[in-house]
Amino acid sequence: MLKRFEVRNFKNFRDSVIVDFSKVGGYQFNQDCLTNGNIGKMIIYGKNATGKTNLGWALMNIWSNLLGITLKNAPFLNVDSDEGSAYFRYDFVFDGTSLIYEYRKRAEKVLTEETLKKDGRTVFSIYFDKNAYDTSGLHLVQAETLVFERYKQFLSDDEKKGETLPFLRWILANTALSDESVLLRLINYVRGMNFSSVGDRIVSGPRGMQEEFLEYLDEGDHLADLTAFLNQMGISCKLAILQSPDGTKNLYFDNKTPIPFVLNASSGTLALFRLYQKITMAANASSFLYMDEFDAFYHYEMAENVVRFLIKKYPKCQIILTTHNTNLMTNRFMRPDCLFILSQSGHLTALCNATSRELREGHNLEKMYISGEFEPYE
Amino acid sequence: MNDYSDLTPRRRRRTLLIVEGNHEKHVLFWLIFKCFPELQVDFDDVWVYGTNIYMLYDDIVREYDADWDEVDVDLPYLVSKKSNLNSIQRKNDFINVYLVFDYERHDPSFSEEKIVRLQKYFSDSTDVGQLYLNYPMIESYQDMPGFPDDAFMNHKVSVTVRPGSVYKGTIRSSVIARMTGLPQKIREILKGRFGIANNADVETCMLHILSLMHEETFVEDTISFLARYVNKQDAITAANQFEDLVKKQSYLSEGIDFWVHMKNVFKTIIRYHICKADRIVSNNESTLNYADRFRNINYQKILLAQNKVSADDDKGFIWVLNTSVLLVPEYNISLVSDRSQ
Repeated sequence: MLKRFEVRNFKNFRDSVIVDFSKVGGYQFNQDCLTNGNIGKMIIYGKNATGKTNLGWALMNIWSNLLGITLKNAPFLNVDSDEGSAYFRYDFVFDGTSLIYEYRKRAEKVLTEETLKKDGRTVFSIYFDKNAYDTSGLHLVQAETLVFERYKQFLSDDEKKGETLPFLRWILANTALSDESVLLRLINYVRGMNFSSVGDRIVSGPRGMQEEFLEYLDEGDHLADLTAFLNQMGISCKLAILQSPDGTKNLYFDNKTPIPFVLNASSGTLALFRLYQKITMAANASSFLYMDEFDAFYHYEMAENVVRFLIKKYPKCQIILTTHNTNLMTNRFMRPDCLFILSQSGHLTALCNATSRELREGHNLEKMYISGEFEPYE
Repeated sequence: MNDYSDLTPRRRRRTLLIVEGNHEKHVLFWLIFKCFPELQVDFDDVWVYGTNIYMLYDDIVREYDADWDEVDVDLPYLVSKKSNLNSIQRKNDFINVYLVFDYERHDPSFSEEKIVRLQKYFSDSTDVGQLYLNYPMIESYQDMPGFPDDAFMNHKVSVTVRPGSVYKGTIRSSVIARMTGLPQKIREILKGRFGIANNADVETCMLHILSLMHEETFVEDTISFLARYVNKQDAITAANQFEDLVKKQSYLSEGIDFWVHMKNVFKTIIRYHICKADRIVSNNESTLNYADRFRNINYQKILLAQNKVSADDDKGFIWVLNTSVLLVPEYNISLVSDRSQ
């Protein structure tokens, strides 16, 4: 799992922002907010324009390195900094083995440095600008048979396109990884990472619904599960998959006269549907979810239900939610070490570290936040 | 261009202390806030309510009706409205709301039912407010036969000691009363005997004198400071008089100033009151340390116990206990630790 993440000089984060999942307070309540002794469920608050969405993009940046997925991150570097590259560092731990992957980038696809460490020992470290390579630790990840010259060949091909092929991605693509390989754990974790933002395109029409998900719903009791989920969240409805006049199958509200779901659902229901789609398609195998303003369309009770649902249903998945809904700032199902404030100066602080007061289970955190208890950290 | 100045964010992060009278504001909490700046209280946010807790009860009922404890009472709103403050305040502006009132067993309007309801409702300083009752009254923090003194654990006062002025008379000359009264004593001397008329000057001189910490240079320092405000001869006379006053408290011989000294005194007082509060409820000699005993404190149980032992008009008694000093450890127990300064 991801234990710690650090980013610097990326978008609005001129200084380092650290997300430390291992900084757990000594609270005895709501232990289900933890995963393997680390923070498993995190809710981040922050005034507008503090960078809650950017933090999500920063965390997901490893996708562009290891999966080659293009993320739209322009401008990439912090515009107030003189530093020529952005810095990313991911500290993972898989069954007691630590992996630290850190890199610097000039642009989304242009690396200047890339380093991987396993249990404190360097697997490889590359300084692209200086043509300096240390690959002496490749045996630590059973990749010692790789022919580095071939990578350099790929690299020069990529450089012609103005891009840098990350060495770790090349290792992953060119090594037969054993089932026990820590790199396999890493790549599976990264594949299982997910990001959703309120700004993402919401399912917009019957054709917008992914066919894959429709097929999924049509199998077994999946549709009944979706219906039960919506009902549980306070939306009473019946659903059915019916044939449209054009012959394609689609999701309908199963009324006396069925009406197409996507065209008629409220924006709140659609947001909830989309959340369900995301988590059922991904979260079962999901390692990490970053849901930006996840409850923008939700009534406060529904938002609370969703958080409780995520805590209960996905104990292994590391989930970060951002919101402005202070009703979720509570010890009823969260804890002061899992609730964070992202400040205007780009610092992420847990509530328990944002006051000299000893926070207890009985405290009304929402009222304290509104009264300014944590103001120096806002 | 539009004028957006009205949209300035409200001032938050304040602590409100609603007290019954002037002693609370100008003696006890003035000193506590000087000694524990960590509490971050703006002295203007200490509001003197001026009447007793049963009048407060009536005001709450007038605003919120008889079933007031079933709704969300906004005390800052209620009190600011009654006090005709410049602007109506709301509890969302305050991170702490403390209420400090006397038990007032002897008051004709005393009502067990009312005071228990108040104590039960006002039980969270970060939300609706925390009520601290002082038994029998605010001066109880000065009421230690010696200092420090384990006899305090069993110290009580008969219900026949009334009115309050009689009780106050019994502790006027206590060790702690003399310590806490020192700033006021110095103010009176500077004003009355040496004729410094400007209050701000009096305050500056008093604060300076009390911040001196070296016995051997005390007189010299005081003379040179006071000489800015009075003639040289008066400065010499005053310095000797203050030396005499200050030496009685013996903190100079430890090389500390009055504020550090009083901080240590308050820490000791508070630890005694923590143990006493626990002792009243558990009725035994506990082996727990004060921090654990503090976590056991239940203000409602203390009140019920006090109501019980004071019920008999002749033989009844009240355990001497000041719960208002416990707002310091309520903020953070480490503030009263004997290890830190």
